Amino acid sequence: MIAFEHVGKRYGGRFEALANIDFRVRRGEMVFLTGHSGAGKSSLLRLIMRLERPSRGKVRVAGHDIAGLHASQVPFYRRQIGVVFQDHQLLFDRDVFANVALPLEIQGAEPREIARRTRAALDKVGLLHREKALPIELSGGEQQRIGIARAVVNKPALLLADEPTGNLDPQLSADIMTLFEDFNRIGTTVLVASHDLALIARLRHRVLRLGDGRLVGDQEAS
Amino acid sequence: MSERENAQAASGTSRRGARSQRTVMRSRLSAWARHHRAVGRDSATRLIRTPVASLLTMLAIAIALMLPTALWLTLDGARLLDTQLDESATLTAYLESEVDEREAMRVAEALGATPAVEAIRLITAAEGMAEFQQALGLEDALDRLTTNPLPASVVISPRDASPDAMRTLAAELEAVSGVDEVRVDLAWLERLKRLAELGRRVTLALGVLFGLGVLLVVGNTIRLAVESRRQEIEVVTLLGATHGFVRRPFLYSGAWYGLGGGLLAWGLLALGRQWLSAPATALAESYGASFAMPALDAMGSATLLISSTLLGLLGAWIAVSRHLADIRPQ
Repeated sequence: MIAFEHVGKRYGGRFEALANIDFRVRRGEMVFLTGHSGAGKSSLLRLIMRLERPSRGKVRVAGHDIAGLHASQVPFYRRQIGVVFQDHQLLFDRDVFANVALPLEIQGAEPREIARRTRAALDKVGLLHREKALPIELSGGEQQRIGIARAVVNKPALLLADEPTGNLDPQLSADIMTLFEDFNRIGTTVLVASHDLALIARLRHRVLRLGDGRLVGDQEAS
Repeated sequence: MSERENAQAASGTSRRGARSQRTVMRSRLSAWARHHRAVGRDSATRLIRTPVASLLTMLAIAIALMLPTALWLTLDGARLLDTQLDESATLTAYLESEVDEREAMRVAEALGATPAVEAIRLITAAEGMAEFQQALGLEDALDRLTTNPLPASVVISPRDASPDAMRTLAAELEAVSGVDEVRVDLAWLERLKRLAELGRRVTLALGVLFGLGVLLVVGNTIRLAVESRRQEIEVVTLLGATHGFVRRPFLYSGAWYGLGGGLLAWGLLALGRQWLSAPATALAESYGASFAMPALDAMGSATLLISSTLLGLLGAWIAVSRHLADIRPQ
């Protein structure tokens, strides 16, 4: 599903964020990406989302070298990836339903289809009863679950999460991770960047470890 | 399977393929139309939610549009006057003083037969005297004259009232026997035409300048709107929105601002006309002329509204294109 082939990323010619990253994630896998902050986790995710292009090497997603995508194709590529952000990036001027429906609106789905799939996604994260609420009225954990509902509403083949539990207490973090495992069980490839090592260790999935922009560990699922 | 069956099967598949392709196209088109409706409505609602700010922007647009439009209307009125003047442009041929009344009729006929002449009117010496007396009110003084010193004259309406044609015609008519002199007063007519041309150019220049003003007003407003919705733009970009999707609400806002400004300008012009109409008519009447304040007709109104909307759209387009490039998801 994801293949990094000797990927390097430099910013401004000097700072080397990633160097010689080489790994593959199979379709349907669930993988954690760890490392201290500044190790290059976010850069790696940005490469997959094609917010950046590699300075060296190739990034392939679903078999395509995504650096070769034309600017006009990039939006359509991004629609196949669900992304969960640490700060969830909800829009506070509209209600929960509208936030979750946003990816479907962008794709131009039928209104009935939008309603059905949005409610299904909200149901999956257990917040169907809050569809009319404004994001500001929700707790941090609820906001993050809305962010996850938005990421999965169009059933992406690939789900990325950047520190999804960064601001949550351990119990809520565990709940969020369980949610990711649920999506993985129905076939979604999941890549979660996190530095919550204790939680990751308990979940027994494959772990990629970054250190100073290099891949320093690849521990298979146990 | 025979060849024919094969061909049928193939054409069947391609027909089905074409049909499903059409369905996809249709559903895409309807999604697109639906999004346009939703965004158009949403942009209008946003403007209404901040009525004072929106109204101020529209007022600025309206003022910028009003000045050139008012000038253009005035010129249009002047052009109307211009054609009336063209119609009333005449030459006067004074006949030699020894020409008698019958001879005058013959000369007048000859003048009327000239191809470049539209119509003639003979003023005999006696008629000329009568007109002169009436105009001056000096009946007594003129009565004392024993002979009529005025020559007979022919007033000629030319087919072509342009200064050059009139000048050529005058030379031609002067050669007709019995004609003493042909008078044509062109200087004032030419001056008026040049003045009108100057006015048209000034209006055009002002129109371009104030049009640029509208672009700047809308552009600045839209720039602020883009800035205030920065997070939303970043998020929808990450979720796979195309440039068109991101740009659309701002383009609609720009078009609404333009249309609102145009409507406001239209209303203000109508008010201004009302206000100026009475004194202007009174002034014209004191000169013995009839005068109607020029008003925007249906065509003019449509032109004003369409161009103001397009200006708003263009201003928004420029602003959004410039500023979206700066916004990249972090």
